[in-house]
Amino acid sequence: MKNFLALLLFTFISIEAITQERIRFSLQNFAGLLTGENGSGVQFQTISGIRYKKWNAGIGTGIDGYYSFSSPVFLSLNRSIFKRGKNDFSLSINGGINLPWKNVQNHYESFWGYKITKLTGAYWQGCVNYGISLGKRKHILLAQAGFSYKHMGEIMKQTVINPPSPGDQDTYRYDYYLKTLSFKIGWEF
Amino acid sequence: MKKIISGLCILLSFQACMKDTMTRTYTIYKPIYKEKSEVYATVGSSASRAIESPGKIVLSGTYIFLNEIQKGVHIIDNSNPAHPVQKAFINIPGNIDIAVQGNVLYADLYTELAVLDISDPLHARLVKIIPNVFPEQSFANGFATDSLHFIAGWTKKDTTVSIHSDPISYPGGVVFLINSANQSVLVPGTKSAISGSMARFALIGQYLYTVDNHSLRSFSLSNPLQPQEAANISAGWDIETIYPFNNKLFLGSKEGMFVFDLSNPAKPARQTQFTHGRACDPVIADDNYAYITLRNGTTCGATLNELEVVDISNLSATNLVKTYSLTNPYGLAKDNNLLFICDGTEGIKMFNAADPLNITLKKHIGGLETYDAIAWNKNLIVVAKDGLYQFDYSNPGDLLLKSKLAINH
Repeated sequence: MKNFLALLLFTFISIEAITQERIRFSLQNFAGLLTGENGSGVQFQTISGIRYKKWNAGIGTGIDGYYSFSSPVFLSLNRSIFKRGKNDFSLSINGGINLPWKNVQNHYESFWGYKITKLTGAYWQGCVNYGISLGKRKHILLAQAGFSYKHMGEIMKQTVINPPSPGDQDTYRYDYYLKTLSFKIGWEF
Repeated sequence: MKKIISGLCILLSFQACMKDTMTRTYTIYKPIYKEKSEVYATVGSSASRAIESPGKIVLSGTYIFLNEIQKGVHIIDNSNPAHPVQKAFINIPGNIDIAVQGNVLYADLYTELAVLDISDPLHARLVKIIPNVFPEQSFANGFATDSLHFIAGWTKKDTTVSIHSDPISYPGGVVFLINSANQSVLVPGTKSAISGSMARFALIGQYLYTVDNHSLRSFSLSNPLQPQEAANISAGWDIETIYPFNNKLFLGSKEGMFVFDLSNPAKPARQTQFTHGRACDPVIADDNYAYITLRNGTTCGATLNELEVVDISNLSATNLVKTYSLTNPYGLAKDNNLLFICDGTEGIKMFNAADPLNITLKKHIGGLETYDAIAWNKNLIVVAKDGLYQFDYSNPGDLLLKSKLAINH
């Protein structure tokens, strides 16, 4: 217990010290486009995190409208690589899980008796970023371009009554590994 | 700015590499063939065994015959419905449907009709095999058998294949299997037993009637141990159930109900038909009305879950008079003014059907997934996913659980 309290005190003092220096909270909101083999889709993201020197780390979520709507939840890491005046170039990577939307029951599910279970998959995005500070540098206009990947799946089961063939269910699993180019603009404050 | 534009151009040049990968994973089944003679040798009685996958039911005297899907028949002594006792199991590979008359059991055995002497149920004896009565059972999953073999089992192997842009939630490449959900009810007062409403076998007088996907066959039982095929009639498509009543046969199909007249019992003649939306639909009848349950959620294809009441007082002009909404109905049974419906995962429902145009729910028992029922002599026998239930309905306002034979999963 003593050790735990000491660690807690140390952490608090460290954070306090850093906070008083250069660390600050940031909120980034993005809107953009994803384009790939199966067309295009919109995307929206919000990332809440902390900015410290050249680094920005946070946790984000959003909407990914490519192929089939889903909501990624991810950790985000961004590092500035080149800065001149108000202009800042950086690299960022987001990684996490992709939560599929549970669509309204569709025709096939009700008519042919398919029970559909949506599967959660992996999600990552790598981007090159450009930011320009506005006003007193607390607001930053952002533009990002990069690659995006999401995996989603579904299991479809259909009940068969007294089948002459084996099993009482036909089961199909579909996996979708989707790769796109990502373009976003955003606002950080 | 030039650098930015150049960077974007380079990025866009990668778009050609943005190939989505999509896969479908499913199970491939390969048949295990067995020689017919080898299978016939396994037919016979054995000690009682746990119920695992119950199907059709028949009540004969104080005995319940309960089908174990694709495996055989449980014989249950029901002298005391509060304490049913499993007496024996008759091994009949490929069995789905059964009928009992006196000491004779008729059962499908893959494609064949098997006749068994059950005068001593503990030593059932295979007496006769009538081949190719159920030809649709000779093929499945794209495989077929020859005249010397049955498909007695399957080996399975999971496989994954690439697909291209298969839309989300679209069941591509589905293998549609034949639906054989049925039961039958026998006329009280004959020597025959009483079957559930999902049957594909019916016994009336000196004849056994069977249906497959599109045929209605009659067999003369002048010698019950040596049935003789009397007729093979094209009855329609997607036939599921058969229900004998008042010298008529009511056939439930996925498209509707067909009524056959038995003035000539050897050769039933189609008298009328009633068409409804595509659905799985067992049917029962009384003097003036037919009761049809329609359900979705299976390979039948349907969007409805309801009870349809059809006026059959004039068979040349049948018409739908009322529908009642249900959840996912399977078999049904009727005793006087009480109508019992197995409403799938909703359980068993008891209705007052004194006025078919105003059927009212009297009792609903949930917590069991029901499949089929027989109502006879104030005792309701219900086949459910987790057991064989029996209820007392002597008080028309209530259903009292008498017993449950649990299923061993």
